[in-house]
Amino acid sequence: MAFSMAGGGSSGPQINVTPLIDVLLTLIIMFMLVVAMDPEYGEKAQIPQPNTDRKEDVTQPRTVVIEVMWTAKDQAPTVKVNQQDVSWTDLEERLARIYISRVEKVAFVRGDADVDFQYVASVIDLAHHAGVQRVGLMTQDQKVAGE
Amino acid sequence: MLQSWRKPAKLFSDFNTLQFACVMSLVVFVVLLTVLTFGAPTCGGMSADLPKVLHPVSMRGADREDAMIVNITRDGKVYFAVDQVNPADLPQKIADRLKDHDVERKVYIKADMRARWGAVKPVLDAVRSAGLMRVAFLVDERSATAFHM
Repeated sequence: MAFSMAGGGSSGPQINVTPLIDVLLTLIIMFMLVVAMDPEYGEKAQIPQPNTDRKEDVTQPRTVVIEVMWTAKDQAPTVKVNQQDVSWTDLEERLARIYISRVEKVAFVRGDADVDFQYVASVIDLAHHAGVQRVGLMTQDQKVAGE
Repeated sequence: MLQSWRKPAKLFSDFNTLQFACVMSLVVFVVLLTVLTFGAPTCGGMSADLPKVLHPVSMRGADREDAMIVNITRDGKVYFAVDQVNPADLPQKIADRLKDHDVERKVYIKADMRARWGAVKPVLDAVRSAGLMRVAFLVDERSATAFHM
């Protein structure tokens, strides 16, 4: 009555896990690379230190001050370059014209307290792209020399 | 008895790839969930909706472990790394960090794009009070086509 099955091994289907592991390893490596290579971006700026020696610099050329003025809620603020209104689309070109002939490529940025930080960051970004090398941030309502 | 002891045992050197695949799958899902839930690991320990600008420059220094990063949330709260601070206390905290001469003498400010400039000003004043001039705002890059004011 005894009977035997041909072939002693199991006959059930088996998943081929080797390519699965290859894919998983590749995914892990890709995740690690994407996370590790995600660089930080930024905008450089400087905070002017107060003048301690109280010496007025009479030979200082006219300083460029970019002002970001709050207008109304949910509206883009207006921007002024040395008290003159400039549209956001013209700002970079205007600054580029100013700084193309200047040796000292410094600009100061002043903003209203209610202005969203996004707009101030955009001004700094456009100023850098227009050729300004150093952007000074004015946190108080003081005037800068030459303004 | 002895003969049966000498009988070669069944080969037990197979690598159990099925369990390995299960562990790998679990690892991939954990990494995937972490990245999707919390986003990529951010410097400063906090994530923020950063301003989007057209021409940012790379800030490798912000990735350093000892970078001084000040986070400013949308509602104006200020964090030095992950600790909420009063801006008035910030100069002392920066000064403490500057005792380590290897620390870069620059403060990275990570402010939410909708934070008021009035919330950023006290931080800048605090950085100035600490004797530092150099700051950098961490931003995100955006495409030129998305630029509208």
